[in-house]
Amino acid sequence: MKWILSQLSLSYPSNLVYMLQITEYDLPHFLKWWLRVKNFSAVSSRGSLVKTSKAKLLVVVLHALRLFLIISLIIIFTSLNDNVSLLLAGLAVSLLYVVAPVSLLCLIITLARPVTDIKTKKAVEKASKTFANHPGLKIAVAGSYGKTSVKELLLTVLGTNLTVAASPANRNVVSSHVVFASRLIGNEDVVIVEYGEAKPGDIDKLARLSKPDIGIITGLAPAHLDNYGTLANVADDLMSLANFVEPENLYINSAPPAIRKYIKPNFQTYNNVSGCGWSVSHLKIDYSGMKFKIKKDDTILDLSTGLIGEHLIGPLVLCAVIALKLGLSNQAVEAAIALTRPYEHRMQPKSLGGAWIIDDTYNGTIEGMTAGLKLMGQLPAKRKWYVTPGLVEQGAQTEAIHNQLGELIAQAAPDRVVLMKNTVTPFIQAGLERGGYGGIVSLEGNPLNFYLNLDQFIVDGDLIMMQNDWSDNYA
Amino acid sequence: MSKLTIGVFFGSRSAEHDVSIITAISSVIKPLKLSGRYNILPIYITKQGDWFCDERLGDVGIYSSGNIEAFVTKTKPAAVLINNGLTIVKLGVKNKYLKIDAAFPATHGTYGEDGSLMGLFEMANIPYVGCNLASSVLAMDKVLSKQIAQSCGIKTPAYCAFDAQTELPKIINEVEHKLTYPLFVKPPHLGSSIAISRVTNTTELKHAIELALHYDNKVLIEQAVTNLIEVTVPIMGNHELKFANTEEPASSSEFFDFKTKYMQGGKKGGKTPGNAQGYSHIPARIDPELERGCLEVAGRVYKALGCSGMARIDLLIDKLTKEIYFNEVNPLPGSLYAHNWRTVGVSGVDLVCQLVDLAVENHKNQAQLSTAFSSNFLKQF
Repeated sequence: MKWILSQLSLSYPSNLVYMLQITEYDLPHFLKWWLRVKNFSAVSSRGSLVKTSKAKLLVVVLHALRLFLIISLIIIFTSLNDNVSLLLAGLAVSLLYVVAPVSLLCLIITLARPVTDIKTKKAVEKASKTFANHPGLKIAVAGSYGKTSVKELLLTVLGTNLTVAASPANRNVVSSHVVFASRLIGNEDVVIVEYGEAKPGDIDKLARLSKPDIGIITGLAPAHLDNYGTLANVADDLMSLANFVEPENLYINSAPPAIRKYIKPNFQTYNNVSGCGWSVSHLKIDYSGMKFKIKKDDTILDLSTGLIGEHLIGPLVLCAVIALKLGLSNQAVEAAIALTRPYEHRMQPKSLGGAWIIDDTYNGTIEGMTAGLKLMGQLPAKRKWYVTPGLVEQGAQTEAIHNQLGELIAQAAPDRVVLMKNTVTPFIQAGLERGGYGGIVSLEGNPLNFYLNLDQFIVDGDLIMMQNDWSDNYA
Repeated sequence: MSKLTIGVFFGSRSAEHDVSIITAISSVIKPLKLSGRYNILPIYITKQGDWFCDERLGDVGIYSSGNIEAFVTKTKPAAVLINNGLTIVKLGVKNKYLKIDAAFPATHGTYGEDGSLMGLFEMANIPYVGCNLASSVLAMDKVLSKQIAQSCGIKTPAYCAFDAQTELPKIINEVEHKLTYPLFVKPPHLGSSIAISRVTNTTELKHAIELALHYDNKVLIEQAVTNLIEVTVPIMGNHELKFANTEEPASSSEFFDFKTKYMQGGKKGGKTPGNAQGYSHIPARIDPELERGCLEVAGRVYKALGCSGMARIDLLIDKLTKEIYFNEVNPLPGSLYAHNWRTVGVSGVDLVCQLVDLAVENHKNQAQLSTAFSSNFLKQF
């Protein structure tokens, strides 16, 4: 009933177009959301419609359609005398009222696609030429997780001594790179491009566009399995980067066991204990950051960072290696690494009263969650909370991965687990049970309400590890 | 099991009306809702004494925007029905009856915290959070509470008290004869440091007495404790007492006036690292022995006044002699001192839930007392 009633609200057209935006006008994804959602009035809690001219036009068209249907309904009811015809006509228009807006949106997007495709093709060709002719070193950053962090770390570290441009935020698809290319000045020493992968062939497409000199694969984990089907398919897509760079210029995070079989001897590897011939030692970690040393032959670098989490040591070593390769001195590298700080919502420590929150709500992979759980174990606290909604787009692996997550949480043994209630919650609970978890588990039906009022739940000395937050199209 | 319906009462005819709104919304309604254990009925009492009950009254926006004026003008005030419990009646075309299972008073000062509301709850025979009628009356009268404390051997600063009818010259004469400057002049029934003055000479004393009597029908004049450390002790419990940390104001002002407490961002915190309110040290910067002494004195005062549920006991310490003096009791502290309870492992949500549990427990204990007595008294008429 709520499903139908919420479609009658005035905000329904805006909410539909908002959802088209956050599903990037991907119709199957959009339709899946439309069929799944129960209340259309409560879909925009984390964001709202970006009022582009295209979006505004679509909203106006939907309002016009609804107005037309209402007028039709009034005319039908006032002109028909026969009760049965009236009922049938009313039912037909009511049905139309529910399905027509979505159908019309799909029709418009489908019909407009050839036109937008032509425009896109031309823009892509232009961007491809820009990248090809650019004199700077082009670094491609791909991976199931950690790619935005590595991109930002490289920007911070290399940017201390070189002119560096990097694709903004986590905009990592062809359309965003076209815009990024148009903004390049041409005098950059280094251009860093983040590659987002969501379906087979994505990495190949992005590499053809940006023509990298150096490739980095930051990790392999089950992500976007709805499209890839298997982890092997994800790996194949990521490893296609090897077709575009020299083997010695391909850097791979060897920490995830699943990736190791794809690593060839002449590839460069890095992880949290070593990287490209450097070994890591003397690690100290607390809420303010990490300190460690890296050593190769007789050279020792003393590195400190505001980042926390052992899994970030590998990326920092990688940054140091690339910075040294590009001519930065040892001292310059140490100073540059010291400038690195956590990024918004990525293992970001925040002090709240006398408690610590580790905001890792942009983390969306089991590997990242494993890293977060490990970090939780390493940090001191009187009481530890683990908060998560679970993961999205795990395809056929959904149950198994969430069982695994539950077991990992049980192993980490926080005092309290807060699960944001959704379709994967029972799988995490089963994992917790299987892992023999003995702490308190609570289910939270309104994640935003919980996050925004966290100060009412915590006490001094608490550590709250928050991993992942489902966006509106999943929540 | 169905959820208990908690009526949260706030506002009222009190100089602390506005502070009460913030206490109710941020420290009571919000955590009670977040607990998921209760249905909440916000019951707002205007400065004129009209009662309103509406979901919208639990949102601070209606007060900060000034829309409350329009709301109370357009809406009919609620009525109260005592019928084997307490029912709020929202008057309208069809009256709406909202039965309250337990009450959470969040008023400060007169017509609420002073025992007035507690009397209503006792008549309605429902559980309510905090001190009972008798101890609220004693706690909210700074003169009576001092007298009780003294009778139990607890030290208080030297003081004089007068009613509004006493002539000013007589007050001045008696005060200057019995006490030495500097002095504190207080309206005995008000909290939140409203109309409290520190005076050092006769002229200031006269003005301060006039100010205090503007708000109250009594005036309390106390001799200032020298080498002062102010310490507050939040306590929770009925029979078994639970103590939060001792807390010491860190104000740069000579004493802790209303402006310092509520208007300088103090409640938002952040001025002093390491404490939630930013204007205090938690725990107080006193040695462990003195701290133990404070907890002991605070516990004795709590028991002597018959407090239950919760209260905050304010103490004054002469740091040279290490004498601990009882200053006053606050039976419904602002914001419930939730920031302090967090330092001993009680979250905002846990705090309000525990207070409701204590109210229910207290009510059960009271219910065991007999209120009937059979006799043939009426038969003789």
